[in-house]
Amino acid sequence: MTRVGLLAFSVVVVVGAIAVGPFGVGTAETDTGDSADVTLESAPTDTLVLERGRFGSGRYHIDAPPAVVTVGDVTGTPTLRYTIDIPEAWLTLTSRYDLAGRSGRLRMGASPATVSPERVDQGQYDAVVAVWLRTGVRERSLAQRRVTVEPRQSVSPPDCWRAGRSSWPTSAVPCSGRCSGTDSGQRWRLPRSSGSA
Amino acid sequence: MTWRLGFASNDQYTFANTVLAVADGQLHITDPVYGPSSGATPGSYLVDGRVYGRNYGIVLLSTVWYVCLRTVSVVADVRVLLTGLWSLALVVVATRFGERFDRRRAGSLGGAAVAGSLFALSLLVVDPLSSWWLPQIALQLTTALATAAVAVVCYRLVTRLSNRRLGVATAVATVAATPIGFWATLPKRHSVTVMLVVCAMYTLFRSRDARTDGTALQFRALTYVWPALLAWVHAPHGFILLVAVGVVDLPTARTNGARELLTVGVAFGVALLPFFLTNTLISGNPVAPPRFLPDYSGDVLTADAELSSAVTDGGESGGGGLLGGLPLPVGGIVSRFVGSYLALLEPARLFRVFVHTGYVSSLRPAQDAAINLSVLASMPLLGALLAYPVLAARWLTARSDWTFSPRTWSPTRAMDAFTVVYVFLLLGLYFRSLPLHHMLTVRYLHPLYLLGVYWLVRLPAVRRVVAMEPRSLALSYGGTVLVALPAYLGAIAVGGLVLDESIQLYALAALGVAVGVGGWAVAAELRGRYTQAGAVALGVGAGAMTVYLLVAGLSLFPTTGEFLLPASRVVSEQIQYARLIGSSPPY
Repeated sequence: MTRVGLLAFSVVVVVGAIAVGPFGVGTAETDTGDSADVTLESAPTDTLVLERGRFGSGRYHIDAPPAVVTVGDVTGTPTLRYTIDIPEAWLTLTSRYDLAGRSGRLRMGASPATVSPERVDQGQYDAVVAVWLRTGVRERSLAQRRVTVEPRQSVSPPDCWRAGRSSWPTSAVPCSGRCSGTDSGQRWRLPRSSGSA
Repeated sequence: MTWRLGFASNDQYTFANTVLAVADGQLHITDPVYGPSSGATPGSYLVDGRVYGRNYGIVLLSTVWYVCLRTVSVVADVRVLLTGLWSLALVVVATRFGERFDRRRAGSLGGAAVAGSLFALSLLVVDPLSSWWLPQIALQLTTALATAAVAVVCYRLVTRLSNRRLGVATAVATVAATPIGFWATLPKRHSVTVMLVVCAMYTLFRSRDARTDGTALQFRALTYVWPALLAWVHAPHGFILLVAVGVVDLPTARTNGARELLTVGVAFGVALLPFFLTNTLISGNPVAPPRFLPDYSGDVLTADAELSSAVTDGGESGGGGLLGGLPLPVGGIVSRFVGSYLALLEPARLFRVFVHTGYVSSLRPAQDAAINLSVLASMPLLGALLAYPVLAARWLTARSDWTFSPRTWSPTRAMDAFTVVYVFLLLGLYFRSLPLHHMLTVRYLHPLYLLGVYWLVRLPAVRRVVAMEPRSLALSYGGTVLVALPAYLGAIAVGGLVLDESIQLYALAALGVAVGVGGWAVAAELRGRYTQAGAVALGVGAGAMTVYLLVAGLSLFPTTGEFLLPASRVVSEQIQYARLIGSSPPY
């Protein structure tokens, strides 16, 4: 009984594998031109925060709002890219979204890439936020904006304990994981003198 | 489940290229398909103007799979086929499980229903597999099968050491509660290394445990085959395994007569043949494995043919003298081991490697991502080893006769000695380089986790829990996975955590769990009680790692979003909100 079952199962597997294979169904997809109607609804304009990782993870990442677009009339396989470029911190964030099969609002989150604290040695950085639409081999920008990025140190619970603040987690004010030097008046300290221009 | 298609570290390009080269009938890479077009990826070496890969033991076996898969892919979809095989394996496991509890029919029907519906669901969401991935899948097949073999051998070993229930618990723990599961489908040497180490342990035990001298000798000879094969994959690993086997085997063997030593020597020599053969073909020197050859830096395989032939000439004249009598860098090896043992005296480094890694500021800025776990966070169950000082103290005080005669050791005692010697050598080989970037689970010490499982099994308190409270243990394990999995994913989503933060959050939690496990183990060994608490502690310790394996495999580390199992891709896409994937890395 079990042997018959296993045999039947094996037959199903083989038939399925061949059906999806090169001689099977759904392989005759032809390539059509890429196109899409994309409207940019919002992209970050204010100051972005370069936030230090919590839980003792050390590196910095961008805490930026998503870029929101409305997508319609998609044909082919166009793609959208949401980029934040911070040359002086050696950091380019790119998040890429395939538009095939999509329509309506699309929230594109910033890439969660991180950068070493060794590379974060200024109090402020210039950055360019951009949204790119790629159709075929062409890529055009829907928006390009110059913004400012400020590093901020968040304090993770172990750091709070080390600093002798016993209030975590009952009081969320000083150590909620987001407490920053800029808010409490103490500016971001430069870890070492800046080498770049 | 977590079989992802993607190149997680850049020497995997080398392996995939080498597989293609070997499939074309040559050992050197001429046309790198994966990675940069120059073919300059870590793990590639330049000899006489030819670029070679490494780990040929794995590569050659994978090439067999690759050729099979390539043939199959002419008429069928490899992804569907492998998904089907995976589902079939599920049915077989369920049937066996049913047999164990005298419910064979229920087991096979239930297994078939689950596996059948999984397979049907997969067919609904499957998309055709590009042949681009085939070499990678072949390599992953090798390492995944090696991991399966590790589980089986662990089960057999512990069943012989103690009983079947403990054997099952060990096999499950090895795959689900240690990083051995993490590296199962990452095509590097680690899974295969662990497999050969556990094979050596098993045959060593059998050779001590055997009834007749003939069987003992067979297993003894086999014990020396594994280091030889390991040398073919990774020569330094093979060397330390050979030393560990030799140091324990020679003093504890029944006899060391000429016939025995000759048999062992012949077995070792024959098993070394592939190693010698490959080395001779590559470097002309049978004892110079690829790892001791000069690195390839990417000037030979560039597009310009004339330029490359010119460089080739240069490489030949420069390399010939070096390779003529390439001595093994004995001085370097000795200083490496000495340096490692000296480094073991640095408390800060010990803390970083074994207890909590966190952010390591001594790494280079491009490589200091806090994505690495300490040994303890990689396997919270290891906390239970804290009980060993208690046992050692008791043993020292209870013992009155101080005789040292290895010949009379029990098979288990010989195994204990082997594990200690092997770990000592393993630390000597690698500790000096730690902490290092891209270790993820301190992968250089990977076999340590296997021996950690063995040491756990040897703890009386752990054996008591598995024997007396199997139900509570299973419940606490299952409960931990069911509760902690959504909790961890939820924390990542709500907190908007990035990769480093997610991993360090887990590391802190795992550290807490490990301390709990350790506290229980010490108390249990001191008092000889607390089996119920032990079931909870061990269940939580194992469950925590299972959660990390699942989340890391499905949400934290997929680089391309492509999986072998279509269902895994669907699940992974559902947890993209974790902010970690869905966006390509910023290259």
